[in-house]
Amino acid sequence: MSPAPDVPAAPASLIDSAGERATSPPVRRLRGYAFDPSLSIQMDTALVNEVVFRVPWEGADVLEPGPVGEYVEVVDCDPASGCFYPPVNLNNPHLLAQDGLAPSEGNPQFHQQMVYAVSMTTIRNFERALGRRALWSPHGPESSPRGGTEGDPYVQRLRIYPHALREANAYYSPKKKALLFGYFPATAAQLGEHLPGGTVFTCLSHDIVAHETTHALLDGMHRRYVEPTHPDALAFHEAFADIVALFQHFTFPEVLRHQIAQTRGDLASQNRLGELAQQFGRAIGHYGALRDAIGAVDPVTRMWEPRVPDPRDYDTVMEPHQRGAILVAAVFDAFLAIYRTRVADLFRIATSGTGVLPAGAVHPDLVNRLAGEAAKTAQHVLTMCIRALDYCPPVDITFGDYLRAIITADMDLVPEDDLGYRVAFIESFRRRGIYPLDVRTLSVDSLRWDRAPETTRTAFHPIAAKLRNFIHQSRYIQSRRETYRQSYEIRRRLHSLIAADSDDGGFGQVTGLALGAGVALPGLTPDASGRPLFEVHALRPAQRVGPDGEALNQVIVSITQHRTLGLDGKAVHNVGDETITFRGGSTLILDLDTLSLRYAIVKRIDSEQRLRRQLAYRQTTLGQSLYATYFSSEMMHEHEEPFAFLHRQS
Amino acid sequence: MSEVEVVDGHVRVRMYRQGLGDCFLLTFPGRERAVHVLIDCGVILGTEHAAERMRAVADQIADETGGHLDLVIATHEHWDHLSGFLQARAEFDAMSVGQVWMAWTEDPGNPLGRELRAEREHRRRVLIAAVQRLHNTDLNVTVGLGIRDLLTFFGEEMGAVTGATTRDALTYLTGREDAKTEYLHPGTPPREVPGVPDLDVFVLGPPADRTLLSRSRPRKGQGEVYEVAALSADASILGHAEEQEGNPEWDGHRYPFDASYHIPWSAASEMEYFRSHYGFGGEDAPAWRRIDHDWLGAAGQVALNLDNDTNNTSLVLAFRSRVSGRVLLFPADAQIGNWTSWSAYEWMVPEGQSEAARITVRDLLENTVLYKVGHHGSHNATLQDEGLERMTHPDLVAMIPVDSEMAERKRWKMPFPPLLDRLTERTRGRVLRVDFGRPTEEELQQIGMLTRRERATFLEATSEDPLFVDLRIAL
Repeated sequence: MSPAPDVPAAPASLIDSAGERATSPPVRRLRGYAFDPSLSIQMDTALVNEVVFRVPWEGADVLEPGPVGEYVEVVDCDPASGCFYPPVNLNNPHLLAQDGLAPSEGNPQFHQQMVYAVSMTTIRNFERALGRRALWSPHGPESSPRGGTEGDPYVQRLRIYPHALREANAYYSPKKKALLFGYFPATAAQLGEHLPGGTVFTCLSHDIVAHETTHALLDGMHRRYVEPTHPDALAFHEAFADIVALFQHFTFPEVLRHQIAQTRGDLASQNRLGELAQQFGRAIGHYGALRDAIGAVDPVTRMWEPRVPDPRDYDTVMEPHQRGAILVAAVFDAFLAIYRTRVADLFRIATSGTGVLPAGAVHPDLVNRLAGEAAKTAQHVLTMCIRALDYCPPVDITFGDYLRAIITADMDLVPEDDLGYRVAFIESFRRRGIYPLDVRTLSVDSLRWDRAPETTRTAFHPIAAKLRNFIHQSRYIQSRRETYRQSYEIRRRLHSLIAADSDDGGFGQVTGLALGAGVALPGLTPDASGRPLFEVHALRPAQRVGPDGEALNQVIVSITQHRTLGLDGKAVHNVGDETITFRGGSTLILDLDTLSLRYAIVKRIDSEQRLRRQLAYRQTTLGQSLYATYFSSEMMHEHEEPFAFLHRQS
Repeated sequence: MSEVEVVDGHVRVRMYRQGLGDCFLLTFPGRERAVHVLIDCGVILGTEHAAERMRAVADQIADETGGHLDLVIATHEHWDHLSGFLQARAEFDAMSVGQVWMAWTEDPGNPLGRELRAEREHRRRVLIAAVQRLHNTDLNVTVGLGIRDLLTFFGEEMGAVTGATTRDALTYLTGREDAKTEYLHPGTPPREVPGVPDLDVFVLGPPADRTLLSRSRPRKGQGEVYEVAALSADASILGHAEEQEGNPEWDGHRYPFDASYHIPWSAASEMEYFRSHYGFGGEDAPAWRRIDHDWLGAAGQVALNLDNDTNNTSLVLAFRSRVSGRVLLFPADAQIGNWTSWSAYEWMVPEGQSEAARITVRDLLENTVLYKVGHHGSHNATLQDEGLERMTHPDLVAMIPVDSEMAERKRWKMPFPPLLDRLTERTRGRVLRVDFGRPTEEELQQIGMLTRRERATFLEATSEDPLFVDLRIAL
C-alpha cells in the first residue's frame, strides 16, 4: 500500500535536526575506580570498586581530546620515560555509549579519563557549595589591582599531568598551576595488594586526585594560605584537602551500601564508617597519615578502634600532617554525630524500639536508607566545610578561625539548626582542644563572627551601593574569563574608592589595615603619595539559597597589606638582611540587600602578638624540616613547590 | 703553642681545628706510658687547602704521639670524618697503629652491612647521574646544587673528580699491615683501650635494626608507609639512571605502559596538539607550565636519605671511668634512629671492689662530662628528651666540630641555633668549638651561669691553639 497522498514526505532537514529537540545531557557518565586499582583484585571489594562518576556535561564544542575542557586540561607527558601518551577523546561515540573507557591500569587513556572525572567532580562540589564558578589562582607577577596590570594573569584551566613523576608522590604546583602525579614500583610492604614489581599509579586513586584538586581550588580562593606563617597554615591546607577527598568519597551511596550490608552488627557503634574512612586514605603514605587521628587497629585485639580524642593534641602536635589529622578527625566526628542523629529513628523503626537488630542479613531497604542518610550527611558536611571558606580571614588562618567560619556560614544560610549540625561541630572541635582564642564561651552564638557595629555598618553604604551595581552587571556573564576580568575591574575601582577615602582613618579601623597618610608602622611600603600600599586581594559574589528558602545576596571582599621586617620584627636595617613578610588584612562580608557590612573578619596588620608568633614559628619550621638543613630557604623559595616538599619529607 | 699537659688521673681531649669535620685525639695517662686514641680525621670537601691542613694536623698528631697511635677509630663513611687518611697518607704511613675500630656495618663479613653498602653505592651512582642531567639544564638547578653539596660527604665532586672516595679511606685503614681491624656491635660487653686501666668503652650504636638505621627524624604515631615511600622514590629514579648509563639489562617493561602507547618526546614536539597543549614554544604555547625536570626533584630527597642513612651507621662510643663513673660521649654523626636504639642495652660491669653493677644508657648520659656534639650541631643529630636533657652532670662540657663560615657557604644550618642555645644552657657556657675555640673569661661572665671558681677551673683545664683546642677531664 502506498502512503496516503495528502501526507507530505518529511523534509530532509527535519530528519537531520531531529536530535536538536533533545536537550544536551546534564551529566557525562564516566567509569572509574571508587578506591584505587588494588581493590579490584580483592574478592570482597572487586564488585564495588567500579563507580560511574557523573560529571557536568561539557559538549563537543567545549571538550577537546586530552581531555581539555573549560576547567582542566589533561596533558599526558611522562618526562622520566621520555614520551607522551595519546590523549583520550571522550566524545568518541563508542565512549559516549558505554560511559567512557573501562577501568584499566595498563591504558594511559583511562588514567586521563579518571583524573578528569574526579577533578571535575571535586570542582562541581565546590561550585555547588559556593554558588559561583570556580577560578584558579592567577599566574605570574602580582596581578592584584594596585594601579597597573601586567600581562594576562588569568588561568583558565588547571593543568593535570597524570604521569609527571617517578616517585610515591603527587602534588599541586602553585607556580605552574598544575597537578603532578607520580607512579612507582610496588614495594615489598605492599605485596599483598599489588603485583610484585608492578606499578602503582597515584592518579588512579580517587582520594589523591580529589585531594590535590582541592589544594588547587583552595589556592584559587586563598592564595596566601600556602605561606607557612603559623603551625596551622600548611596543616589547614592538607587537612582541608583531605576532608574534601574523604566526604566526596562518602557521597557515593553504592560504596557505602556494600560496606553497611557487610557489617551489620558494627553499625550501631558506627565504627565501620571510621574504619572505612581510613581505608579510603590508606592507598599511599601521607594521605593515610591524615586520617590516623580517626582510629587505629588495636595491636592486641586486632580490631579497629576509634581513637579517643585528647584535648591537649592541638597544643602539642605541630608537624603539618599530624596537626592536620586533628582537624580531619574533628570534622569526621561531627559527621558521625550528625549521621547518628539522622538514623536514630530508622534504627528504632527497624528494631521495634529495642535498638538490637535481629540476627542475619540486614534488610536491603534499611541498608539503602542508611547508605542514603550517610551519603546525604556527607554531602551536607562537605558543603558546610567548603562554604566556610568564604568566611575565613585572607591570611594566617587558624583552626579556631575555621570553626568560627563554619558556624557563621551555616547560621547565615540555615537559621534553624534543628538537627544540631552546628553543635556537633563545636562539640567535636572542643574535644580536641581547638578553641578560637578570642571568644568568651563555646556557644553557637559567641562563635559566630562578631557582627559589625551599627555605625560601621552604615558607613559602608556608599561602597556597597557601588558594588551592587557592579555585581549586578557581572551577574549574567557566561564566560569564566569575563568573570575574572570583571572582578578584576571591580577590585581596581574599589581600590581607588578606598584610597580616596583613606585619610580619615575610619576604614582602617574596621579593616585592621594601616591606611592613609601619617601612619607610622615599620615595614610598610609607601605608594607614590607616601600612603601605605594595600591591595584588594579578592572579591567574591555569593548568591545562595538555603534549605528554608532563605536567600543570601552577599559580596565578600578581602583587603590585605604586608610589612617587610627584619628577623627581630623591627624595620629592616641593612639592604640584604634576611627579612620576613608579615601580612594582615580582613575579609569583609557585605550584604547587598541592605547595603551594610555584616562581618569584618580581621587580622590586624599592627598586631604585635601575631608578629611575635610568626617570628617564633619561623624558628621552629626551620627546625622541623630536615630539608631546610641542606636545602636552604632561598632554594626552597626559588623552587616554590611547598606541597612537593611537604609530601616528600620523611 | 698553647696546650694542656697530660696529668695522672686525667684524660686530655684534643679537638683539631682543620675546619668543618671531625678529628679528635684522646690521650690517657696509661699504665706505663701515655696512650693515644684517634677518633676520625677529616674535613669537608671544598675546604681551601684541605690537603695542607690535614697534613699539618697529621704532623701534629705524629709529634704528639711520637708516631704511634694505640687505637684509630673510624666512625662512619663520610669524607668529613675520613679525608685525612688519604690527604695525609704519607704522614699516616710513617706512623704505626695498634688497633683499628669500626662499626659492624663496615664488616665485609656481615651480610646486612654488605647489603647496606651496596645500596649506598647504588644510590650514589644514581644521584651522580641525576645531577649530571640537571647540570645540562638551567631548570631546577638549585636542587642540583643541594644534592651536589650532599654528595661531597662522600668525596664526590662534580666535574672535578678527587680521585679518591670515602671507601678508599676505609680500605686504607683496614689494609694496614700493622693494625688489626675490629668491627664493633652495640650492646656487647664493654671493651678496654689497650694499656688504659679502669676505663670501659661502651658500644651504643649503630643499631642492628634496618628500620632504625633509616630513621633520621623523630616521628610519632605513623606507620611504616613513610619508609615505603622513601625507598620507592629511590628505586624509581634508579630505573632512569640505569638507562642513562646505557645498562644493557634495561628493558621495556620498566616503562609503565606498553610501547604502543608511546609517542617519543621528539615526535611530540613536532605535533601541533602537543606543541600548543604542553607548551613547546611560540606565542600560544608558553613554556612556564612544562614539567621536563620536576621528576628529578625527588633526587633531593634521595640524596638526603642517603646522607642520613650513612650518618646512622655511626659508631657510637661512651668512654666511662670505673673510678669516678664519668663519661665521654662520642656519638659521631648518629641521628635519631641511632640515638633511640641505645636504650635497648644494659651492661654489667665490675664496680670498684664491690659486686658487678648494672649500667644503663641513662646512667651513661647522666654522668656524661664531655659531649662531642653530633653532626656538627645539626638539628637532628642530638636527641632531645632522652638525650641532651638527660645529660645533667654539673661538669658537662660540649665540643662542637663546626665551622659556621663553611656551613654558611654550603647554606647548611650548622650549628642549629636552638640547639646551640640549649647546649650553652646545659653546659652553662662551656662550649668549645672548632671555629671560635674556647669562650673567654668575659664571655663566660656575660653568660653568667658559672661561679668565678668554676670559670677559673674551666679555663685552667682548657687551652686554645690555632691548630687545636684542648680539654682536660678528671677521670
